[in-house]
Amino acid sequence: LSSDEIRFRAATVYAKKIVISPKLVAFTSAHRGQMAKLDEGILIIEQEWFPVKKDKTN
Amino acid sequence: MSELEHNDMEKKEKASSITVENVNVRTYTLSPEMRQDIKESIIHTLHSDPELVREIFQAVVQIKNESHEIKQKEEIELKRIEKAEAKKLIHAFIESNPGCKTSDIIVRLELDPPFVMEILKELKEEDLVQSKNIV
Repeated sequence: LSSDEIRFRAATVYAKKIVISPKLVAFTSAHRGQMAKLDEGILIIEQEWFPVKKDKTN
Repeated sequence: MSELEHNDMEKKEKASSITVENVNVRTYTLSPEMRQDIKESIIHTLHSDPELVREIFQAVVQIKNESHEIKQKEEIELKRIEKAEAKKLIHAFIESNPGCKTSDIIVRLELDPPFVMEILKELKEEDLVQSKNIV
């Protein structure tokens, strides 16, 4: 497994244990967020899904 | 009650009256005697009214059952079903919910996440669905 960072717009984690830090984390001077520590799970980067419209003329 | 105990009680009462003034919440400090009186009164009522005891007992059992049901409903059991069946379900779900997120599919269909990812990949390769990154 890589130890690289993974950047995402939206993601969902399914994990055995999720601990959310109550403290705010300052990413930049203008951006605040939170931190969560996860044990044993999978992280899915969210995507939007659409059906492929088949052309009925053929 | 000794003089020292009496003074302590007075101090406690004073403190609670300050709390009442400051936060506008009525607080009661029960003396040990009052506490004992109330306890005895409750025990007496329960002894003299078996119907009440039965009702309280039934209410407690009902609350316990309901909270257990709520707990069960809150738990999502992710399952693995036949691949062909899951493929049909996921395709139908995307057709009826265009723009749905991956997690919507997983949670609404209650399917195992890696299993859903595998099927979505196949559906995409078969050109039945397309995905868009969230911007």
